[in-house]
Amino acid sequence: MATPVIEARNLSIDYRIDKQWLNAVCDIDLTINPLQIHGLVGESGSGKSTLGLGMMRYLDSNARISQGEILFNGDDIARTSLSQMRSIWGKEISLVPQNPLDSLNPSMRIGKQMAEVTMLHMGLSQKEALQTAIQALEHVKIADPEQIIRHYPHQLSGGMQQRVMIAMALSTRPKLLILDEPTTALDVTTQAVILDLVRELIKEEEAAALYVSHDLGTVAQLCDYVTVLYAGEVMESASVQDLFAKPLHPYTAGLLSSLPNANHGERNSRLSTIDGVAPSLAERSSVCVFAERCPVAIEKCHNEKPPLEQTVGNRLGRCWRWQEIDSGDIIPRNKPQGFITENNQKEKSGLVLAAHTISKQFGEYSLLDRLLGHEKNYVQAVQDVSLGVGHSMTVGIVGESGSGKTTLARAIVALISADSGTMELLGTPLPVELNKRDKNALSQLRMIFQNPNDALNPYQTVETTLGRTFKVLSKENPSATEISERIEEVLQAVGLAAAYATRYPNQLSGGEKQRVALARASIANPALIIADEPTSSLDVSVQATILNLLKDLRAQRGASYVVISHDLDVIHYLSDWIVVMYLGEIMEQGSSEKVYELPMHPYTEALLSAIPVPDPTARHGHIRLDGDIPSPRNKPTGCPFHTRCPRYIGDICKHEAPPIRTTDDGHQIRCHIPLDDLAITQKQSTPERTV
Amino acid sequence: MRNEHGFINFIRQIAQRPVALVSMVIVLIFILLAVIGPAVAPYEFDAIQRGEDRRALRNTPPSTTYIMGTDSRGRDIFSRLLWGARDTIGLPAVASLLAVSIGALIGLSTGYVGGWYDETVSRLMDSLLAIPALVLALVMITTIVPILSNTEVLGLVQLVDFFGANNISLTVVIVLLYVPIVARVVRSATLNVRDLGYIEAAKLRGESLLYILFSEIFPSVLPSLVVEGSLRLSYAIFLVASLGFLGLGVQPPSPEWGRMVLDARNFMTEAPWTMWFPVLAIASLIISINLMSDGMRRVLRNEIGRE
Amino acid sequence: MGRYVIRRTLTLLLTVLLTSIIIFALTQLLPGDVAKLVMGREASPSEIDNFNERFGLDKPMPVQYVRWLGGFLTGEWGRSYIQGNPPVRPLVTERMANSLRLAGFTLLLAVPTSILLGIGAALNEDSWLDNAISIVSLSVVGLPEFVTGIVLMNIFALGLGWFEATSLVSDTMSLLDWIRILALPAITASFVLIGYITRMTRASMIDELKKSYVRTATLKGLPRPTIILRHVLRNALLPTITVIAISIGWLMGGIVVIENVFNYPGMGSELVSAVEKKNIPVLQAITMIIVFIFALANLLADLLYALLNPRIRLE
Ligand code: SF4
Ligand code: SF4
Repeated sequence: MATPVIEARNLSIDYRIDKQWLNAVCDIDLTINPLQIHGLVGESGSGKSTLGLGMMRYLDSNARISQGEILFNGDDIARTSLSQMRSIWGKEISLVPQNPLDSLNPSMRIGKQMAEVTMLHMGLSQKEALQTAIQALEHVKIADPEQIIRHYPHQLSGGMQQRVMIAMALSTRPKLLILDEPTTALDVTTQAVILDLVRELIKEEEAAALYVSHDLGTVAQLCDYVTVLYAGEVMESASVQDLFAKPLHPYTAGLLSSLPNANHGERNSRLSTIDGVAPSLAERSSVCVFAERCPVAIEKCHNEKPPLEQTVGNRLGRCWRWQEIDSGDIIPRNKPQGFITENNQKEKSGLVLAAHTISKQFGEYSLLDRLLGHEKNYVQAVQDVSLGVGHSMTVGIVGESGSGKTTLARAIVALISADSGTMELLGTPLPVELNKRDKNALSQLRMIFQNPNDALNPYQTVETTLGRTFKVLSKENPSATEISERIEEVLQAVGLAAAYATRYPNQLSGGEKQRVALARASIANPALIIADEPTSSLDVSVQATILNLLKDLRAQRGASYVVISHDLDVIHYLSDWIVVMYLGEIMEQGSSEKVYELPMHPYTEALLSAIPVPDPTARHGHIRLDGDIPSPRNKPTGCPFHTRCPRYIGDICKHEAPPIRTTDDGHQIRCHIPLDDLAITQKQSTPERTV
Repeated sequence: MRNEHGFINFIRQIAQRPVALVSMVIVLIFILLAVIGPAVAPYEFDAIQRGEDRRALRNTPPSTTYIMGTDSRGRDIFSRLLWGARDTIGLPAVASLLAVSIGALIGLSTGYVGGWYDETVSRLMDSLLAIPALVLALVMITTIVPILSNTEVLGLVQLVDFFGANNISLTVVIVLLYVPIVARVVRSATLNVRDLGYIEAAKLRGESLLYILFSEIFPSVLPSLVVEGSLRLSYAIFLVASLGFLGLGVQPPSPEWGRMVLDARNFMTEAPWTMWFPVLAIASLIISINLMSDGMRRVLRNEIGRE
Repeated sequence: MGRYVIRRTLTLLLTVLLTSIIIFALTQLLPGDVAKLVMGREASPSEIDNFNERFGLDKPMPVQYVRWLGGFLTGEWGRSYIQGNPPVRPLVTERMANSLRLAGFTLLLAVPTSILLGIGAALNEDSWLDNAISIVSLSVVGLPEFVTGIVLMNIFALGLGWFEATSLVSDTMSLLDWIRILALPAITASFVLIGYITRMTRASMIDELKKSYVRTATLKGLPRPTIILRHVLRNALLPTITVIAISIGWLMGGIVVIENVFNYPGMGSELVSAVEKKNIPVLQAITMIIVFIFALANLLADLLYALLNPRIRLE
């Protein structure tokens, strides 16, 4: 076997918090072989970034390597001096960080920042170094690199900034690349392009890479080998095929089966979940760190820490029961409790919400602009959007940044007032302005916010928040006992014990906060709940419980939902009807099955194709979009998608807004290509998404 | 400050910082003196001390009878300092409390409501801030004192008679000077929370403006308001003492400390203690307040950083 | 950039205009009274009418304001109320020159010192050096100028005799004479500024050092001094420009007190005596000049900030 590029043995890293050293990552064995892209997955707090950067011996000022070694080029870099590391950093090991804009110096031109590296490590002159920078930018497929090197970081789009980081990292031909969540800040269509690029370049440069991520989908598509981290420890590591085909650790198994598309399109069954929360740094114990949450934990697990040992083949695992799991004697995950039975109100006629041609512009035309004779600088955030929500129905709105999906949601609940268009709630007109809406409208139409951390007032207990909401929105004046009974009831409905009523938000985990937010939204029995990215800030395992809860609540209470997300898998799992938005306009809407399984519109098709499937054997979608999403400030004319559309059919797309074509079952598509033609091309090109 | 025991917790954390703790204790002592000073002072502030020959004991150095010596008129400096604490600390304290309350109200409302209301009010505040504080204070004193002394408005006359035109003008000046500053701080703290989910949730259940301002936003603004308030207090003391030194502040016979320094100035060489003690008193008071509010600020910043 | 410059300039002009109204209104709040205040209670009605007419005090307020502002802008600053009614302008401009010398000398002392201290503290965050700098700067920032001034005067002028305790200024003085006179007042004025600018510089430097691009630079393998000099310093000092402009406002106030402590013949001591004598034209002129200087400092700071910050420059 080839000598590894880098190898960590028994590595532990500690943080100093409140005058105490706490173990952040513990006893890590990690080997990266030449030409290998090694994935490091974990949820938030697992220590994956600490480990990722720790592998290149970069530690925060309050961190230290407390034990173990990191072998690189035969040296133990855990022990070498900082000055020796300086000759390795940027030359032999480079970093592609998570947030490219913050990682570039805002007041230095791109070219100069790139040139610095080659001047330092390859002894190039400034002129040569700039030339090298231009070549490196060409390499990452940036058009017009001579111009780009003269730009400042803020003048580039997110995707471009990340290309610059990649080009810079590769410019010294390093042996090892550390990629720390390199696409987390990017949209899914850009992510797909960047990941393709990364894979291609790493192979081409014959480098090895450590890819740190929370996203199992991208790991499956990009990596050769995977290490799963939980609470600072390696749970298991295996080749990507083996790991995804047959996880041997209960944590990995739980993680994989809690993904929203784990049920293979069976949308009426619950997702399996991992109960509980990950231990914080201070709570890590000397037994199995996963024992508290493990569905197959036995007594031994609570008494002794399992060793990280070789399991099947050359896989590594840290579990007492891996043999039983391997032989199939036990199934290491929470079995989802059967199907969700809908209480069927769908027969109720009429719509809960009907919105007609909603439009919203942003940007003001200040006095100064007028004096200077500037053009109006409007951003058309939402344009002529119409949609309807039936009883007990979930409508999912999906789109990338700038799609206007959040603006639309906020216009519906009237946090912002739509410029034009009309709405009806349960058949009665719904004013566009919040202060014109009556109590009934307010209590029938509720919202769940994206970030659970600021959804609850930090100075109010759960009880205060819920009680106040119930009191204000109730028709009759509820008595104190009625209020507290009701609070207990909704807490139970969202799966929280009554004791939670007296807690403050800082005593709740992210998932629990979101449950309280759900309780608050449903406490006054609304007809419709708008949920804006309800799970995007949660870990996968927590996301699953919230998704289940949303489904259960709908089944029990019959409220309708509008769910907004950038994640098409989440939308598909939750919704009956999918609306696809791009730059403020609806591109396609139709039933969930139709849109997801046989997308008609070129944009939907590309979007689906860009989603990384958490299955290394699945044929990855092949459609890649050129360039980045245009800024809504300079929205393209005609069909807004024409600048990137792979099926662009000519000037008509550029100059004329496409018509809405509707099929018999209400499926709507906005494209100049006739429906029949679309159906044919799509059938030919759409890869099988599920296996 | 995130749960029921937030305040206690806050105090405990301050107590862990020696510098902040010591300065807080010193500040409390000074405040205590401002309250009980006259009661514990050995002599009246304007009693001229006389020797056995009935001549005034002018500029006598510190001794066991007069621990800080006497001034150029023969008055006991220690007693004067104790009496003077009330004007030196009390007046700025009342004035900054007023400024903080009004400033908070303006900051909350401009920050939350926004629009032309915010535009207009903020522009006006900026204009007041465009004049250096002490200069604006001088300009205002020039007019407000005569206006108040000649006022015939019922109620105001009694007020002026009771507190003195000068004290009221100083209070008004401090309020006008510091309202814009407090408002600016509170406004930006309000802007930080204005668009958070829990505020929007309150809007969406139809809460009134007042409820949102005071029940939802105010608690999160309070910590920075407390820090700013203590800073304002120190600057108000600074300002009143400086005006006193210029002869334009609290008027004699009140033994305000800045004024005491002014009076002592001509005897700097022959009786330096007449100057040193008030100077030391002012310096230690202001430095303690500053160190205390810095300690509070750091504690609060840590709280935020930990989330 | 152009847009930004125009916007800043217009906002500033608006602010100065509003400020001038405030100043004017404040100083004119006591019409009728002015004559009595200036001429004494015994003045006869005809004398008062005369006074009012001569100074235009009988016109309605807006008219007076426009006349005053117009006069101020065209250099016609009116006549002083005091004996002999000398014109205001020569007096005030001479005083202004003296004050600007003092202010300039103070900035020369304070700005480099505090930037160095701030950077030093930030680079050694939480060390004894940082703590010492923090405590000292917090202490001096709160000391009233008359306190520091008197203490310094006692030690260095009266005690050691290195400098003069009072400032006798004449036209024929050499630079060295000026420094001897300016040293103590300028050091006094520096204290508050150093306290303030040091703390702000430290804060922005610490913020900057925590940013991700510093990590990028470190992981390029650059040595720490290069990272600080080439990457961090420029970004960290950007906010300091604004801080310096704000502290000029402080300086203008502090100078009033300091000039009194040292009997320095500048605008500040003139302002105080104008207040005492209710000499409104002088008061107005000096206040407006101070406001202008402060506004100009802010404008310059804004422009410099924009010029050095590509995010604004390339807008
Ligand atoms: S060791 Fe026990 S608790 Fe830990 S993962 Fe394995 S079975 Fe679960
Ligand atoms: S209208 Fe033209 S550009 Fe738009 S989606 Fe259809 S084919 Fe593409």
